[in-house]
Amino acid sequence: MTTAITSYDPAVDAPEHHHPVYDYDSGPPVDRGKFAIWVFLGTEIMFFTGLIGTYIVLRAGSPEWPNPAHRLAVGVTAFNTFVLICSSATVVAGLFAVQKDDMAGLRKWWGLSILLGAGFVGIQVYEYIHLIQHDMTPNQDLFWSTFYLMTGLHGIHVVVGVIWLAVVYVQALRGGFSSKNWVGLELAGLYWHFVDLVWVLLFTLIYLM
Amino acid sequence: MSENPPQFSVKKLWIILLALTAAEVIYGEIGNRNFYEQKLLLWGGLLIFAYFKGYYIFQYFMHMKYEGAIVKGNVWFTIPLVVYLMIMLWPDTAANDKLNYEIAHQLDPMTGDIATIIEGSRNLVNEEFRYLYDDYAATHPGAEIHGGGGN
Repeated sequence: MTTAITSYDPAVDAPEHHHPVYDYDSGPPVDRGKFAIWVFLGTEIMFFTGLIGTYIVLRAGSPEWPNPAHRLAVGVTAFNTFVLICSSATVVAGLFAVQKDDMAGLRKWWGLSILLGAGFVGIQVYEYIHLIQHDMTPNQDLFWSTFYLMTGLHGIHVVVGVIWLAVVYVQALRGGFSSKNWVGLELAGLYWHFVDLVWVLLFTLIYLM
Repeated sequence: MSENPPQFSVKKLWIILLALTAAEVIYGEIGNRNFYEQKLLLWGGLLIFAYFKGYYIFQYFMHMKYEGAIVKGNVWFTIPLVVYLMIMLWPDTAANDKLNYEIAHQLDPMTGDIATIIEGSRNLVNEEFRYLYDDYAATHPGAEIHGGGGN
């Protein structure tokens, strides 16, 4: 009985009404994970567009708007922007390393990316604590409510990104990636670069303009 | 199985991004001190820096430059939606004075009048709302109340 089942070949033994067996992939000619992450990032683009668009409307419609240089520590946040850009570069360096089967390079660059990402969050928390200690809270005025809303939501994205990078890092330590299989790293990297890209815009809009 | 995308110089791109960030911060600092009121010059310059930084991250770090039509289509699909949102929001930005209630003005739920908010939701300049502060002060003895027309 067992022999009969294992030797069954649908291409030969299936009745005529059986569904045909295809030897090609009927999906789009792109990796499923990459397709999914870009759909997700498309929704994220819309999310931040709504947020930034609303900020611009509120700001342009306000009778007065304070000079951000008088309220925020631009130098500290410029350094934080530097940290985030560095983390994006190290993520790419890690991806390039695994494509060359350089697993030590992957661990080094990816670990550094996690540290830099966590550093960004740490500096932002330090900034929040400093501001709140000086009564610069969201209920004070429109400047602060929009500031906390946008930097806070971005900060949540950074935290999620750091967790994602850490999960992928553990997978890498367990030998989950190679020069033939690195899509998992690429997906985490795409999300991380998107978070970096959004910060580039937020930093300009909130801290410099 | 994964397909290797074309590789580029991470170091070179990293230096470009850091240089752009430094230049942007310096430009912003100078602009905020010397020509803060010339919004077109200040904001236009800053947005150009932000555009190029975003361009390099999007095209190279996210390697959109090397992607095919399907992935690119996923992103370009959002552009009409962004434009639509901007068109819908534009009247609120460009014609604030033509709105029934200007932005940053607050409708008083009790009288139906409009108050201008200059600094903070408690800092109403309209004297007609003085009773709001009085009510608040009566229910919160010892509370420090800011603004309210200088009484």
